[in-house]
Amino acid sequence: MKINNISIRGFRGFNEERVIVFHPLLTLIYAHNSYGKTSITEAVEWLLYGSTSKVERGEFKDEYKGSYRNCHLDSSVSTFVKANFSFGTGQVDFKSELIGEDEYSRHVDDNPVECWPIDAELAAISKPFIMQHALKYLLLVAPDQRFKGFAQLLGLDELGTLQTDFVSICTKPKASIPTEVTTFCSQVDALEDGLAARPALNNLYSLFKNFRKGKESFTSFTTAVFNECRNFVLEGTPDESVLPNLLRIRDDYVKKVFSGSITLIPYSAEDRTSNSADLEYFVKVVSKDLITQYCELIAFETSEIIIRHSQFYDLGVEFLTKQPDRCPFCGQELSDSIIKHIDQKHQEAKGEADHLTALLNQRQSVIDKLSQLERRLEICQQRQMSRLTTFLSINNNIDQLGKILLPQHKAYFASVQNAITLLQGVKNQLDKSYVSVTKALYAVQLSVQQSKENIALISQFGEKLIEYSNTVSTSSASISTQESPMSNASQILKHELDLLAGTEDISLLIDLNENLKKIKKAFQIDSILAGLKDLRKTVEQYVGTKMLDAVSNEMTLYVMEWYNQIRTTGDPNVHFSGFDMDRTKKGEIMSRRVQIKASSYGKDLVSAVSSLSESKLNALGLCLSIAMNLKPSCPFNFLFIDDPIQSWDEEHAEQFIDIIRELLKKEKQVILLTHNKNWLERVRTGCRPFNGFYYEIVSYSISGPNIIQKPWCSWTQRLEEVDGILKDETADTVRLQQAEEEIRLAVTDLTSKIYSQKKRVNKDANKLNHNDVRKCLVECGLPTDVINRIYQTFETTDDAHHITDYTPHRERIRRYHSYVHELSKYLE
Amino acid sequence: MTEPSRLELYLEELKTLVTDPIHKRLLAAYTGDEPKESVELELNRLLIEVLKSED
Repeated sequence: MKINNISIRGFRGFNEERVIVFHPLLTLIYAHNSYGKTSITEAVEWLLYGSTSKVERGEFKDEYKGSYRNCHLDSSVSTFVKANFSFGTGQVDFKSELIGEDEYSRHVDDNPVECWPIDAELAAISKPFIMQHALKYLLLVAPDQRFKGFAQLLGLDELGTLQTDFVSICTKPKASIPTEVTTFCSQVDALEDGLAARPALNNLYSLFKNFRKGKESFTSFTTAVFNECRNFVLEGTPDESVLPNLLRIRDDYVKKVFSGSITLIPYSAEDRTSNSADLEYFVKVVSKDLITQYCELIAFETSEIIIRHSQFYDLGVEFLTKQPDRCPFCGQELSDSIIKHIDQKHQEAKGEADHLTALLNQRQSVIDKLSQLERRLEICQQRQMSRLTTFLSINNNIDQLGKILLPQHKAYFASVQNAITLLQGVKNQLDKSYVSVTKALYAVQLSVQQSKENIALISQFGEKLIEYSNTVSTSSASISTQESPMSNASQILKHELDLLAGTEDISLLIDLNENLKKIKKAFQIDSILAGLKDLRKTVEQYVGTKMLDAVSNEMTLYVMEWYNQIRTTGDPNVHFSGFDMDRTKKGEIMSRRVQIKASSYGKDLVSAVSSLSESKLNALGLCLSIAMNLKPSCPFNFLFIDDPIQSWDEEHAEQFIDIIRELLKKEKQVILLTHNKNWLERVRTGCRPFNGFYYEIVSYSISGPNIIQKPWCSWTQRLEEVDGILKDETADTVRLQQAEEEIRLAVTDLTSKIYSQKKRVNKDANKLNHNDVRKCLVECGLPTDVINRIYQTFETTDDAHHITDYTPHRERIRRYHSYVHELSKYLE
Repeated sequence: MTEPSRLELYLEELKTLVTDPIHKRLLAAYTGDEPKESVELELNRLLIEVLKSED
């Protein structure tokens, strides 16, 4: 992936749109400080990644808010960065437009996209930018940050995240523990605290702790608890009677002190389901079948007459079968029409009787349903009342309770008093509503039994049933809210009573006995949580080993290759000597600590970070970035290098020109930006044959940087280069092909200059093709034979510098060289 | 059949390094868009399982 050009508007130091075309290999950009050099690099970074490393690493993010948009940009236009990239043989436009302060919309070839098609590759490799402010970043940051950065550079960031996640989960598992588990475990902790506070049960406490640590088995602990219990009951008590006896003994002692209890039985899951089912059933009864069926029974009032009528006809028809032409009652002769009339009437009466039978069945069904409803109401009422009655019985002992709990447990006592007031009100309401609904139900039942159905009765019952359902619903909610506070108050009372009755040990033993399974589960949970430390260690060692393998082999080799090139002969022997991972005293790898090693005259130093000079750290940072960008897996074939030599001496700066040449030979596209003009001149001279592009930001105004493209070199330098190549008998194909390119560029340069002199119009030499060259020279009035020779020269050399299987033509080059000299004579 | 991702390969290697079935379960839970949350949920589930177990 190479970058062909970039268009920037309103981004950072850029206001009005500017376009920069990049050379396929080397582009040099010179500018004074603050002329917008870094904005170019940042524009490409923002385009590809949606943010810049300067903003990402900024400690105070607020200071960078809104910093992407140029403050002078016309408010009616938007900030955008657009670049054209080459992927193999194809080209693609990427455009990113700033929305608000830091959001953006993206387009590929003008089509909106959610993300770049190469986002996965971008995330997996280091950025193709070497920036002064970032050179030492990875070296000087805290070890954890360095680990993160190296993991990213090496494409191991998933491994880094995996480790961070498991360390977090295993170190602070509390976030993953559900409340019910925490509550459960705290109840077992309370038992342990209780044991710790009872000197008489000291042995048991030791066993408890050992069991918790996994040093004692569950069986030995339960046996010990049971044996301790035996000390409190009569000798010879059968095993199964030990616990009941213990309970009885405690009750006997406690009752001498206080006979009441704070007991608000919590709704079990089954109770809650039953409540819901009842309420659903009541609503269904009111809204559907029962009322409809009841109303249909109202027609039943005339039933007696219909039945008797039907029976009468049955009897008459029976007699008629014996003497069909005589009246069965008076013996009078019957005409055919009368017989027919009797048959017809009999059929009608029979139909009515059948209907009546169905109604009779329906009545029975209604009676059954009403009975069923009565039973459900009773059970539902009982479910609520049993709790309330049991709890409210404490009211009988409230004064005595006050004496026990006050003043130490004032809050608990007050909560009991509040609960009594609240739940007494609930009970009264439930009582009233229940009486009301059962009364209405009884009236309905009676009306059915007496065949005196009445719509008013069933309506009234419906209303009362709804009212009762609502009361049950609010009552159960009120009871539920008091469950936890009353359970707490009950625990406090139990504790106080044990203190007063001297039954603390017995009580604790009972609790242990009743909670043995709970204790076992709590310890299982403990063991799972403790085991997370082992998991953490395994993950850390695994990640550490992987990282060690990557940094000490692959990474060290890559970086060292470049570091050795930047070393100068006169350097003091204090050098980077590779990467490693820190280790514990036991020799275990510390997974998140990448070490940068240094040595001096063969002796290992503590760390490169503390031993290397500022310039060497910069050089190391640079080598690290270059090495990572040259990895085969890196999708980028371009590299932005922004002011790399700031802290270097002349010799190191010179060495770096070799590195640039090395990069270019490896087909890496380099965009080098600097404020050091002298050094850039040396780079241009050192990389002269690559014929790159050279830009200068010559001034800066409110509209942004003024970027001018300058010739890579003069036409005379080019002809001298060609001359040199021709004189060099050993010049290979590559050099000769370069000579052809130099001739072509000299032609465009000279044509542009002649045209400018003769016509006073500037022509961009870089954009002239062979037809343009001919046209310009014709307009300038040059002789036709000269124009033809130059046209031929340009056309041939233009083809020659493109082809891959170039065959050298020394003679042709020599001939063209003289043609170009001839052309130069037309320059004033 | 798709090739296992790099992360899946790491997890497979890690699973061979642990013996505790609970740890294997937690490592297996490291999947999806929010793998950390997924492991936390699995740990949560594990603890509830112990709480609700009959024995």
